[in-house]
Amino acid sequence: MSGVTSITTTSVAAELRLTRNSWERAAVAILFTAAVALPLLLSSNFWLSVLVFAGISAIAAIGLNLLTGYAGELSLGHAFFVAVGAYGAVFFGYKHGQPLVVWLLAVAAVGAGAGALLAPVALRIRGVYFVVVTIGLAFFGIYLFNNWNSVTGGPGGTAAVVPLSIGSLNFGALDVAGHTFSRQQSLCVLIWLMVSIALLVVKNVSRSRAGRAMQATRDNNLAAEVVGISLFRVKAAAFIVSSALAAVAGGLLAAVIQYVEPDQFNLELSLQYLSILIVGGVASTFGPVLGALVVGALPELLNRFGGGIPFVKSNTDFGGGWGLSTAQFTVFSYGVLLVLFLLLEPRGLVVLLQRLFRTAAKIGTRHELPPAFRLLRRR
Amino acid sequence: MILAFNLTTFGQLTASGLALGCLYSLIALGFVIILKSSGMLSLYQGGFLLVGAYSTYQLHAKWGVTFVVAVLAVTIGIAALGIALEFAVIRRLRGSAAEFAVVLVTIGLLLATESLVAATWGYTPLNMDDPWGLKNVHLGSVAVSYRDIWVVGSTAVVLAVFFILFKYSRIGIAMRAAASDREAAYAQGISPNLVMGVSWAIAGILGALAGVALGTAAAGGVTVGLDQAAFAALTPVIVGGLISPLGAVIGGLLVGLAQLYASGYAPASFGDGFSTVMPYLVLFVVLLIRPHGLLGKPEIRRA
Repeated sequence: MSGVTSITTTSVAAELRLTRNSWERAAVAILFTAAVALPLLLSSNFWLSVLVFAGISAIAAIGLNLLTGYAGELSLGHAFFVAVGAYGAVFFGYKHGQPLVVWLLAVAAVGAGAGALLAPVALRIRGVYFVVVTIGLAFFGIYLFNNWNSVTGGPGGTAAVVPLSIGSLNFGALDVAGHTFSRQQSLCVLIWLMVSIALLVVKNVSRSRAGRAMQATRDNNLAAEVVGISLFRVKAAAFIVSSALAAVAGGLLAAVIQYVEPDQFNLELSLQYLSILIVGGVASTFGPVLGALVVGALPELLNRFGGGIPFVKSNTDFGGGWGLSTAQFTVFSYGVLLVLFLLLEPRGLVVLLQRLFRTAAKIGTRHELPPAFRLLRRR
Repeated sequence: MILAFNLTTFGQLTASGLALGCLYSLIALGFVIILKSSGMLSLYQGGFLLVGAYSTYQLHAKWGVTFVVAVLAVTIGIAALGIALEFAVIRRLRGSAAEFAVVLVTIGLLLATESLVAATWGYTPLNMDDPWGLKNVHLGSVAVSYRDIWVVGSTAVVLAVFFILFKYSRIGIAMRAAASDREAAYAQGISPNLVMGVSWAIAGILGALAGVALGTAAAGGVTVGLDQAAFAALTPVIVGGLISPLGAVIGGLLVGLAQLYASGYAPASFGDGFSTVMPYLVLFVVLLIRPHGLLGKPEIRRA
């Protein structure tokens, strides 16, 4: 989205650094350790699965953030690349039994390849109309996955039981100091490790020359071209990296659910990712993660607690009385959250939290944000 | 499949293809009119389709209101809905990222509408009980449904009215002025809010009429999946050149015909649902060959 970045720092070099000082580095280390260690301390399978699905959505949304937030191209076809990743995991992990590292890398490569293949078609048209091409891609994908039976198993879907070990580390049942952790706990660790890697990848791309070129094309493509940036190459790069990350999310989704069917990857899923991005904070590092913890957790949370909301009934309740099923209400919430945030705070939760911390800091008579909170500041 | 060319099949497919194409044209024209008057792409056409079709069903099949009266009432209601949406939501989205925000907001509204419609009327196809039913008329060996003839005929009338209003009426001239140079039009005293409101009302009416036609018995009844047609109708918008109303109509007819020919002639090995993705294949091919569309201007192209 153009016009959301602010030029507040005085030094470009400081702006481009991964972390600005040793406090920030310590804070990042603590956050990442917490993200990985927290699952091991949680024992409720329900909350673990909330974290698992939020983490997977976060990876996909981090990828979408590069394309939509930094390169300024709106996509409703992100679910297509998630599907490519899921079927990639079926092919390499389930059918050919490759180990975790191999199938996950292969899945990322297939996602990137699909992005590279489609970029020449998708990027042939300006700005908002790109979204039309991605809608086409979404529908074409569902047709393809329904009919390419040898890989996808057709409309009925296919099993996807994939290897989860790296050497002696088994992410199906982690074994730490003699204590074996549950499958959900181990998967949660794996997924939040991947979230951290995805964050690092996108943060590094966005502060690199290519990333700054992306933001330049987003804010003013004419000016960007004038200074010698190739629009196509820059946007294609964003498209390819974002597709690879979507594919990784898809691969992990397959690994968790152990089953893949074409209907999972509908337009509603792409809407979920956009909703995560807007609710969390577009073009910000931690926005997609925040958004995923709220929006990405919705399907699980509503499934469990939705019954308490008026006019919401369970998916299997076909009895009388008007009401939305929890599945319908989930999609309804994606749409409504998207609309509300765009109307009221288009910069998302990141900015709301920042404001909250500022107020808290003022009450504590501090003028500067504590280092850990500075991470959440928008650049 | 070896093509044994059969004139009857071909005639039948052409007739149905033209009828579908007419509906695509109506929907696409709705997209184009909002694009032209505000420069924004609204994806809410599918919502107008759904609301139009289901409320006609409710009025006519459930409450027994005469079909023509029901359609007229729905048309007026939808125009009001369009104006209300533009006033309550779209107008509030300002700033440099407004065109992206409009796409996002309208897709959010569309899917929210879809879930409300599904919650109210369910997923089973409903019979609109329209006056045409499944009756056919034989033109030589080709059986054409009454509904298709009505669709082609009434689309022609609606399009004629649209183009005459657009060309000669005061508001039509104001809209064209706003489309060709927004700033200059506003400086001449044309109200941007009026132009936006009217364009949303017209887009709504066009969408609702298409929705009613797509929900008739001959087309398979009223279903929640009707809004798919609105996505498919984005193809004629781009094929036609984005801001060209005539291009949208021609594009709509082309895409409708392509879809029906694909359903009739695509070999079985292409699998289920090939014809439904045909519009998008047309889109991809057109983008590769002529990115600015048939009647568009090259500056729309990028990268």
